[in-house]
Amino acid sequence: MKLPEKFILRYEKIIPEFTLFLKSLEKKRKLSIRINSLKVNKRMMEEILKKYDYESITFYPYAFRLKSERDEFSIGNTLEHFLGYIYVQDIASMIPPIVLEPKKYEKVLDLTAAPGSKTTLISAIMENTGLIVANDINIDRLKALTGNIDRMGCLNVVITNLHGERFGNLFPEYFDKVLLDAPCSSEGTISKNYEVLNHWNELYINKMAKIQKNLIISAFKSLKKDGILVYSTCTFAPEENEGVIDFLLRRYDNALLEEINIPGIKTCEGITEWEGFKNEELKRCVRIYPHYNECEGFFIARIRKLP
Amino acid sequence: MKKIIKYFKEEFDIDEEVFKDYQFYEYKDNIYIMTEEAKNFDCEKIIRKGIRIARIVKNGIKPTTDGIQIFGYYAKKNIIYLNEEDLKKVLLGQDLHLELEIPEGYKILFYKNYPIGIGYFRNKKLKNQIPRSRRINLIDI
Ligand SMILES: C[S@@+](CC[C@H](N)C(=O)[O-])C[C@H]1O[C@@H](n2cnc3c(N)ncnc32)[C@H](O)[C@@H]1O
Repeated sequence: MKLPEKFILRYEKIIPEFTLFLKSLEKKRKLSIRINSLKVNKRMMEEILKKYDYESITFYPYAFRLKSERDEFSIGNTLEHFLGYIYVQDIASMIPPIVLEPKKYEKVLDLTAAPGSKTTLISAIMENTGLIVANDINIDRLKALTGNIDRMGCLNVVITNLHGERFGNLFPEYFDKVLLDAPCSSEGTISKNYEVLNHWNELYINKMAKIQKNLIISAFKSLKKDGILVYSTCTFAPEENEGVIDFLLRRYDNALLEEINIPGIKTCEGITEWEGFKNEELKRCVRIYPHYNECEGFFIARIRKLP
Repeated sequence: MKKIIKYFKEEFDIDEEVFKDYQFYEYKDNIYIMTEEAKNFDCEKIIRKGIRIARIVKNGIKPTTDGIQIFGYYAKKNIIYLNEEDLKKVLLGQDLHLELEIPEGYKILFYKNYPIGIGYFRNKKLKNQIPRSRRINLIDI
């Protein structure tokens, strides 16, 4: 794979052990699965796992990394997949819902939710109680989300098709938790999807950052006092990550950036200085790199809305 | 929505208890099941709340595959247990011929302890009801 020179120049400064990072992109990554606790009890889980060679994941008891080579297609044709007992999901993509810590009977907003990998996990953590509003602007992607909700048996989800930018005004201070798993330039998925690089350029990054800033304002407004907002992307660009968080922190005095600790995952601190911002606080954001965790690249920030 | 609870009790002997944490909502011949909080949430451009548990059809009510995969566990009658070979056929969308002397109607299909979905049994033929989008070529049990 040939990475654009600009990409290399940009990221060799940011990504630690850059050569290892580059090497990790070449490697075919093992799949990971999540057992759906809405439908599967402990005994059934043991039964299902007998068929797999796996390794447990510390931060979530229902998450497993498969050790043997399995492709998504073959897993899609198993009985346990048909029944909605398992969901194929990258380990990194399971982290934002864990950091969100949704509780039973809460009201949760998943502002950009399709195809619902995180929605269905939030639903499982909430044990099918309360409310999750799963919103997305893209109706085709919502079809995939609906399919996943049906298969996983989520009874606490309302699916909406609105511009995420509108929620702040439509539902001010309404939700206990909000997840903004923002649309982004997807650099963190390069190893799975080389096409990401076809439209990679700095203009695109800046365009995404603008969208993300509007979405995060809406997300924050829709949050109750003392509520938690988790912002995540699968990209490395500081403009789309720390830059967006810095923008929110500067705009709202009552936005508090909290520490994140994910057992078993090696995280790196957020970047504190880049073109356009300089802020020591941003260290509390976390960056998850593929070469340290055998997963996609991810950025996660957790913000509390102070009363 | 007493009628849907009554239907599951009468047809499959599923206790009312099983549905106590959820609410029903009927829209255009579809019956959806969801939490109370989901039912009470209102806004424009809602695509769906909860999941569709049944449809209202000519001869009564027809449970969905998705609904059965959640609540089928609690059924105590009108059940058919499939062997591995028949399971594969059902998941491919095929009908089955079964030498059974049982009344006509919707049956919950089980493989081992797992509720797979629904089938319509009539004259020794089990008519497939697995939605096209859910059908698979089972390669591994
Ligand atoms: C990274 S993906 C979300 C993945 C999803 N959270 C999951 O885990 O399955 C970003 C989503 O944002 C949606 N999106 C983009 N712009 C949006 C907007 N202005 N309002 C709402 N959704 C938007 C896209 O359609 C896309 O589905």
